[in-house]
Amino acid sequence: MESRNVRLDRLEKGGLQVEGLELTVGDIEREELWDEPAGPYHLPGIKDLRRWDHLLLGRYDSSYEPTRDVCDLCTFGPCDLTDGKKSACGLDISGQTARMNLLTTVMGAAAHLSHAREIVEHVIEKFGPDVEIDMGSKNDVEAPMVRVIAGTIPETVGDLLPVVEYCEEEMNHLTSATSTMQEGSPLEFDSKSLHAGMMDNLALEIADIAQISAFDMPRGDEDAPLAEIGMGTMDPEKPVVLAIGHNVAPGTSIIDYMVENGLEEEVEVGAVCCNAHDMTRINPHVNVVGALSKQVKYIRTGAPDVVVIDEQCIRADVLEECRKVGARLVACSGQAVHELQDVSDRDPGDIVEMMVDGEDGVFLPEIEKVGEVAIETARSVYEDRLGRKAIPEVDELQGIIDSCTECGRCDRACPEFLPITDAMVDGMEENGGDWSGLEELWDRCVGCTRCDEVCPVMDPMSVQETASEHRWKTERNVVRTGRGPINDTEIRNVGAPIVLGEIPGVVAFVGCDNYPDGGRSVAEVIRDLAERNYIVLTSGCSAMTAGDHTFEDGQTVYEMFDGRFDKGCVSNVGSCVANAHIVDAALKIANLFANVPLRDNFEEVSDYVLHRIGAVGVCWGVYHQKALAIANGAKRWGIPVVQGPHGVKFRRQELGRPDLDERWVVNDANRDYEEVQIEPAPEHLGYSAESIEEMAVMAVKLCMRPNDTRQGRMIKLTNYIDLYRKYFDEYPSDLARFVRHEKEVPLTEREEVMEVLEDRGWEPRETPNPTMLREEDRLI
Amino acid sequence: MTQAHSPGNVRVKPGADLNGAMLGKLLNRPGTLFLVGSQWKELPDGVLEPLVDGGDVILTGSANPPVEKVARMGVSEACHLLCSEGSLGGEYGQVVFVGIPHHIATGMLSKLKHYSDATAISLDRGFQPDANLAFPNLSREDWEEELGEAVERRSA
Ligand code: SF4
Ligand code: SF4
Repeated sequence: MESRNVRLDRLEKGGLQVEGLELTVGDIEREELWDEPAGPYHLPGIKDLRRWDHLLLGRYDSSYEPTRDVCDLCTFGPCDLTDGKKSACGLDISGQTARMNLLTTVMGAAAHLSHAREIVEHVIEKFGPDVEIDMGSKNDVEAPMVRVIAGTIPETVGDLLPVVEYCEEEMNHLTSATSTMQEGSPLEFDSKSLHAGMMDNLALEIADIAQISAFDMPRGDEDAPLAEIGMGTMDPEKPVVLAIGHNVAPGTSIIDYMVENGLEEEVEVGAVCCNAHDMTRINPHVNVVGALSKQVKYIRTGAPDVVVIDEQCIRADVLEECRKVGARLVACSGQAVHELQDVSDRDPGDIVEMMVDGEDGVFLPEIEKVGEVAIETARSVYEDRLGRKAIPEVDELQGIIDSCTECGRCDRACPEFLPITDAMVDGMEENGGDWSGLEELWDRCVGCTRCDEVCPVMDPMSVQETASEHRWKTERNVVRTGRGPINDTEIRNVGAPIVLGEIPGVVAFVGCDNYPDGGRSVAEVIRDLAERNYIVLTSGCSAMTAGDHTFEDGQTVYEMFDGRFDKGCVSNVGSCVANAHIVDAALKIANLFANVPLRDNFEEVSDYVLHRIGAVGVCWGVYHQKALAIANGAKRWGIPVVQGPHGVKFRRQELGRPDLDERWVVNDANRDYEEVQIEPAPEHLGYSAESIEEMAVMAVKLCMRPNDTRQGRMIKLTNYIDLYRKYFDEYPSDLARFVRHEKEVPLTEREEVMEVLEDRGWEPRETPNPTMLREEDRLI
Repeated sequence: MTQAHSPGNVRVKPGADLNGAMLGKLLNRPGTLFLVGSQWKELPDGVLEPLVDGGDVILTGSANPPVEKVARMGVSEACHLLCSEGSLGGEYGQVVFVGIPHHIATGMLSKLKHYSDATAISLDRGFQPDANLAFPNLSREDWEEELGEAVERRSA
């Protein structure tokens, strides 16, 4: 990598303060020490990986699902795109839909990239640029994506800045491509969406390795400690500080102040969303209040004295919600300021006084002051707050429920189509006053407050909350704290069985909790897959959902299964940015098990992942643009993704056509790169399932790879058949496509299945050494 | 015009309101494909079988109703094939969505609207503006009544 000049507005270290510092960072000397051969894609630009994208999208159709008939992005419009009509700028509905998918991906990737820059700059400002990148003694391959894309081995956090700058440059080109009268081809928009996804994934890796190194978070801890999760974990009788968002920097300030002043027993600190993961990675005594859906629900209980927000996944009306209960808001990031007064120049004591005197919020981007301000404000105001809340009292609830007019507006407004009206009607006194339906809704409700917006007489979400008060007040489970990277040592143990197919697959449950029907079924699928010896990974809100539910013996999946990266284990990698470690695990398998060089070698690495590593991402509760960005990145690396039904609102799936043999032809590296037929594996690259059962079956199916050994394929088929029968109560009709040899059919079914296959003219096939590349494109 | 469940999308040609009598008549047309999804159990007892009688059925999601099917596949897969010439594209003049969860159905109906010539009918209780024909947002009682009427018309 070339050296680059980077500018820091401010550096503080050991009493030294420098403004406007210019640094030259580079790694030319280190490159000489790294003897891995380099591929052709050094810092690939917007156009450089088109060939790979076109190969992928030649196999997987872009299935467009437009959400709008018109484009109104410029003043030529709005333009009608129905019936094959083009817009004034010449774009048709496919082009416009692909463009919107790109724009959405760029939004998500920008959120992660901005986060990465803020974390890297914060670390450099606080500790200097020489903080060593340290992923622990079990990890020599510290930053696989940086190695593949930037062709460098970063040694310090300062080394990450030029990579951030590269991503920013690419993101600018990508944003430019969405403007009117630039790109015109749907395929090229799709290629750019994949590029934006790759930028996203790289930004995740940068952010997480910087924060792990600087804040001493777990470095591949195979037995990471358990943290408490649930609204009942917080003691509302104490001063309460709630952190919301994704950037852990203010959280570190809160933890430091609490620990340095010995206030752990006196003050309750908790967090929702990814901040909760990252704060527990630093101090497992921080409480995980819950996933995104708990944000407003928890504020409305009146428990938080101070709410600290940083960036991402913060409701736009957070200040209004805080005002309802008198909680003070501290905004710490320029991304979300909420018109609050900038108090950076004031002493923490003054700021506390302001808030105690009634100021309902401040903007405080001086991170080092946040801990003192938040905790001391909470300590000063909590006694006045006790008893205040924004949900009805239990003794007034019956009257409120009885006032329901049964208009049904809440049902229509609810993004999950929950039967709110039916639950209200059952809860009415004249119908016996059964509130159990409302209680059940509380579990499935994603906390969006849309029903509150339309109801003419009440806030239905708050009604549900009071009706289920006894549940959330005692809600107390456990989530494994984020372990960070998957260790090189673990990869060496499981690389072979994964690639050969003997471990049936790696299934990663990632992303948000916009679940169409609650989170319990997600935890059930995780348990089911772990029992079937899949390696199960979790992250973000999905990781919290997994810890939110217990099974017969009162245990969560984190207590039932080990936290190693091994068959039959369930590991939480951590927050959104820790998703990088899931992709990284696949890259490490390619590198450590198969010796595929990482350096500047994107195509060959991804080709390896696509054809050999049975990994699948599941984003069942997809809601944020970031989820799309993560998914599009994973797809470009060759990892298929299954989304929940809301996923179609991102407007595109990448669907294989198993009925078209010509789509499933690869080169066989064992036979002079001669073209050979393979089975449709993985069958789709991006797929939205309508039900959790369909998701489970699809996830298992998408773990098949053309490289599976016979025994590996038999194990994968056994699981596919089992789950298909369990959920659909019949045999998979496409079984024949995946059977290459009689021995791949599970023993118990062999006779029966072979009879059917032979009747259909089935013939055995060899297992190839599959690649979509030519010999000259590969280093191995 | 009935308000869409997902408001705010500017639709040039929103679908029209459907009623039981109209549905009963439409279902007698040949070349009808039913996509029956995982929420089929929300239909009143005994309605599904007479509704789909005479048409081809593809089961989607985890649906497993007691009706004869021509295939099982994801609704995403089925709609993609319905928009692909040389596959299911052009095979059916009419596609009826039954028990497909609302949000994924919205995406699929939009896909059919833009990429297929088939008439798309939604039997969802909530209005689907991207279908050519869909029930307006109905209470459960009204919905059951309309479906009952459709069945009666069919058998009449
Ligand atoms: S707050 Fe809950 S119940 Fe209300 S509309 Fe949102 S998801 Fe539905
Ligand atoms: S919107 Fe309000 S009044 Fe109308 S049905 Fe729902 S809870 Fe009842």
